[in-house]
Amino acid sequence: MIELLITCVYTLACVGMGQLALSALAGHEWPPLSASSTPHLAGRFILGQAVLAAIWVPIGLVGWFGPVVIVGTLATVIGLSASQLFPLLRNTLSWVRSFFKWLRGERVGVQLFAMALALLIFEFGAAAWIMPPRGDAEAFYIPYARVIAATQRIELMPGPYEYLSSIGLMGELHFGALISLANVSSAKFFVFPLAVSAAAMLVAICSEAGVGRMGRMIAVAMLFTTTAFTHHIFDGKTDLFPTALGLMAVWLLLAAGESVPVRTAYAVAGLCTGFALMAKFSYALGFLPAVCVFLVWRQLTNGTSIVQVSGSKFRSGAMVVFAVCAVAATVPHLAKNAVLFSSPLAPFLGGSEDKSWLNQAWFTPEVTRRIVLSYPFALVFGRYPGQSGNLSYLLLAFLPLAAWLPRPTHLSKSKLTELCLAGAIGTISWIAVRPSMIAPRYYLPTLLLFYPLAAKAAEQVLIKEAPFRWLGAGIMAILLSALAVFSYPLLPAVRQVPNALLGRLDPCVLASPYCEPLITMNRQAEPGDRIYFAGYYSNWLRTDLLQCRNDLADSQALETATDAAGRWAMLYARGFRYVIIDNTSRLPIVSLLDPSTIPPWLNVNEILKTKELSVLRLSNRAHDQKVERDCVQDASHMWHVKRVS
Amino acid sequence: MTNRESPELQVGDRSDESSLRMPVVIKALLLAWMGANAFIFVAVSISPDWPIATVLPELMLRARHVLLSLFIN
Repeated sequence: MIELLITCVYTLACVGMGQLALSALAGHEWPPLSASSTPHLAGRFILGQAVLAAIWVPIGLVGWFGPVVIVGTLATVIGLSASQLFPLLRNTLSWVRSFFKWLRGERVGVQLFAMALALLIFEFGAAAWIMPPRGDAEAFYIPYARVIAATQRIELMPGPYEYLSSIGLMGELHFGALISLANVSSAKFFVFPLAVSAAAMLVAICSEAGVGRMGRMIAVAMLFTTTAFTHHIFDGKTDLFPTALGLMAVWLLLAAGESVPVRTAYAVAGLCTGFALMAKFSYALGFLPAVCVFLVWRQLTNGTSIVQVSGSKFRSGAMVVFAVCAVAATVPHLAKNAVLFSSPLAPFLGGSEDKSWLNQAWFTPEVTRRIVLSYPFALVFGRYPGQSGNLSYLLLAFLPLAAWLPRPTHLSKSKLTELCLAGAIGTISWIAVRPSMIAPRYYLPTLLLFYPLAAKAAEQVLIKEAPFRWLGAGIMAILLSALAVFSYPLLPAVRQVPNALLGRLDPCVLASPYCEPLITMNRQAEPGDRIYFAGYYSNWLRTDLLQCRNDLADSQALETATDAAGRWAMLYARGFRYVIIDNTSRLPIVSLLDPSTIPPWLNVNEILKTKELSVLRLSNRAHDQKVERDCVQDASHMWHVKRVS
Repeated sequence: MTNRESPELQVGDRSDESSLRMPVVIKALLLAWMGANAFIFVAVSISPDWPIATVLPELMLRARHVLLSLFIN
């Protein structure tokens, strides 16, 4: 329970940081806090968490990323922004009250839909807290954050994934800070307020595009039935950080000159775009073109708010402000890579020699052609390996209803047209450059730009359909069934909430099959034991074991050794006391480590075996073999693999 | 929440009195379309290999092939 409280305080500090950043950027230009300030609260949080992560970078690089500095920073931020935080929270509460007042006057069906939607969102919150890390988060994101928290320093990630340390570390640093203050559950739960803020940004975009309250609720339902979005609420990955930033950038560009002053809107949108690009490089291919459409659209169309409010000469000035702020947002990331890889532009220039992961082709030309030809269905129903989530089927279900929307009098003034054009250009750009990578998460904000159109179309039918309202009833039925379908898989997590509240939650409940054997392994291994981990999902190992595990050089030495018996000897000489083989993902190593070729002086015992994992312990029968490497702890409590003289 | 919605975009507003009228056949087709999407999603979730899961993408592919051949010829 205390972990949730810590996440809430951390979230509050992010809001405060956003407030301070906006005060510094815009002074009094930012709109005053009105009763309807939801996007402003969410916006402060999204911007604030990005700025806070940027502050963690230099602190982490110098090795001060410990609980004292983290708590001191959070307390300072909350203290400096407290006078502005309380009115913000009070106004948000009054917005909630006004929403319920509106809901009370609505039909039962709408009330039922709102309740079901709120319940689904609550369930995702429970899942974010309860569900253990899964997939890539279990292999990279969470273990890296745990090591950062344990060492209080940003270093290359130990093990074979060190090249991945060159990506943006926004989410990982928040996770590291929260693990340092509490635990992994607290870190994972932080994604939930971020997801809700992203939803608030989608609502704000809908609002700018003229979608009414019912339509905005439909858009939120669509978002929370988008598995490319919802999977990352609870799996421990960091994809929602750039998604929220991307949506905020879009909202600001739409609102520029109307609900937000132009210069401020472009400055903050630039920051958000820069932060989003650094948090997810793939956004440069799928999201940046969409942002460019907004910028160019506003330059070209006459009669837009920018021209009206600020005069034409300011338009290019606003573009410069946008570009400068976008570049400024990349500086912490570039500094991090300059220190870790001696190359600010790593992984694109410098850094790891192996750059194949930057230019992947997932499928054969035939499958790729099929994927491209089956858009948009591939985005909604596709189950391709690596896709990891889809768009909501409500999008496809409601889009045809858009044919009955009235045509806008001026196409250039229609924000729905602008959104769809930006979405289309961004999507086409992605397909053109990465046709085989069918993964909505790689440019999710771009794909979400189609949601307001579908939501508005469904809303129009619900409100304006003449009796008998068959279609409206159908829409409500589809919406409610979608919420039910998405609630069902979350029930196991919700059932664990009482156990978690009482502090009786088994760490391996709902976890992958790697949890139990690796936790057992933790009890057996001595501090600083080297483990050759031939698998992906290392999250469950202790942080000293993670720091001492095999690196790229060890893997290469094993793979290039020609002598079968020599491989076993090489493992022992490099200081490995355990070998963990993931039989499901690293089969080639089984043939490399043939038990029949074990040298007579080496004792190899299989101490643990599950369907997925084999754990072998290596020991020297006569204690007469020399060891070349050992893992030792330095004065700053970090573990390093060193040569033994 | 901003209330600065362009007047021409206020189609969802209750103040707009005009009602939406559609032929029953169109309504039935739209309902069928929505139901098909929901059904296929559930089918894909339960079993990705279920043939029904590929019906819509397959139809789309065939339609595109027909359209392409029309344009090319």
